Amino acid sequence: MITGNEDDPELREAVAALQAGARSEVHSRRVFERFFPRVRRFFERLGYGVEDSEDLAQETLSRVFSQIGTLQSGDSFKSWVFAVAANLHRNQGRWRHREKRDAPEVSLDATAEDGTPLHEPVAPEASPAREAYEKERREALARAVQVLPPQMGQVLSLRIGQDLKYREIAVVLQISIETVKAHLFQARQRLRSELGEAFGEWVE
Amino acid sequence: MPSSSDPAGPHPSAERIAAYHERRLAPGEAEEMRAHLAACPGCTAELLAFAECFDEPEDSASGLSAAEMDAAWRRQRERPAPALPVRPAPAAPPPRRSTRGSRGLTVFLGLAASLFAALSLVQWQMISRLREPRANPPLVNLAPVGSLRRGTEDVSVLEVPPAARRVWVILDPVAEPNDAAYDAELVAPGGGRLLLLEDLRGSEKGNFRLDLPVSLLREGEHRILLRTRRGDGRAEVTEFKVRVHLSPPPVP
Repeated sequence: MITGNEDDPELREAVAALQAGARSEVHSRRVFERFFPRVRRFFERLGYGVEDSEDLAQETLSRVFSQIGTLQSGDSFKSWVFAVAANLHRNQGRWRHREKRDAPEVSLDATAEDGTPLHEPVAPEASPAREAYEKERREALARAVQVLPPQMGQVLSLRIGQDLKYREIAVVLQISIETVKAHLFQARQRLRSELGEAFGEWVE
Repeated sequence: MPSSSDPAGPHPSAERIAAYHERRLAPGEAEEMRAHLAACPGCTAELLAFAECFDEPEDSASGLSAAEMDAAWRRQRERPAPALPVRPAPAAPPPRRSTRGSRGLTVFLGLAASLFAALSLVQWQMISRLREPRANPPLVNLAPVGSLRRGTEDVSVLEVPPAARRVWVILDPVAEPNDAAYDAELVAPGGGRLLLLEDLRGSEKGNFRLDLPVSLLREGEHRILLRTRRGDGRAEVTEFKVRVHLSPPPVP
């Protein structure tokens, strides 16, 4: 049985009909209406612009329609659509990296005819001293995380390393928000005692 | 997306991330996934986007007006069949001018030999495959309910082996072949529509072959209602029954 659509008999029926090889506009449109907005938002959430997100969402749905016969028994249709979209995103990432490698290199020292620099560093305020300080702090934190209990360390990494909200950390680690808060409170206490006051404040 | 040389280790597949989110992983596997996510912003972003966009109720997830949805659907229909790269691949770098002629020739001959060997292997595999008998899915022929002579069992049995993924159900409405369009409705044991196939056309003999995924079927007696609209506008319904027996998967 295809799972993930149990609460939506119309969708279940549409998926089954498309799986059975029916090329019905009614069924295709039903699947499209359920998933196109979600997939489009999925790409927007991952940082794509509006037009790219729409284009990628439509490409995802095209693949879903053309590959629906390969959906395995017992698979969640929702998860399968997500996997198609996520794989497309991963391929885009590879494409972007390749494009980046192929781009011509520019020199930050290049100047215009009047002597003004053509290119500015992305973060002109970042100084070597500041970078060294941040690097040292990150390394000290990484060492501290390693001696924490695993779940507490993971909460801390997600909070500081990935700048996630409490609610997001709870989703990622499949724990309650209260547990997230408790872990951060305890981690703060430990970091203050082991690394000094400034590191404890970092976990605020 | 981080590279595979990240300290977070190799990235789990998207399918595995979905399985984790739906709590379908074993406890040990889930713990490994948590450790990876804590160190990998790329996979974490995918998981959060999945949770945020696919878990929400439909009403709050849409955000599109009916007109916008119509326009998006039109663009979807006009879209050509899916091509693997969404964007054109970057132009290939210009070929390097070889400074070592003999080495280049050796590499070329090696590649040619490898290509020849690979083509031979593919050809051999294709020939072997053609020689193998192709197994059809389990099949059952159905006659309309009440059309068989008295005393015979009206309900055919469809035995579905554990490995089967699809079944073929042949409907023989015992009517003259025609060009009319039919709808076939599959009804679950105990009621409830499982599937509606629309706009079916009969074969030259007037039969219909339904190619059904096993995942759709339940254990027990299914009804299939074949509907059409006759020339005089009246609906005509022919009923078929099939008793499905799903074999349990083998115990490992």
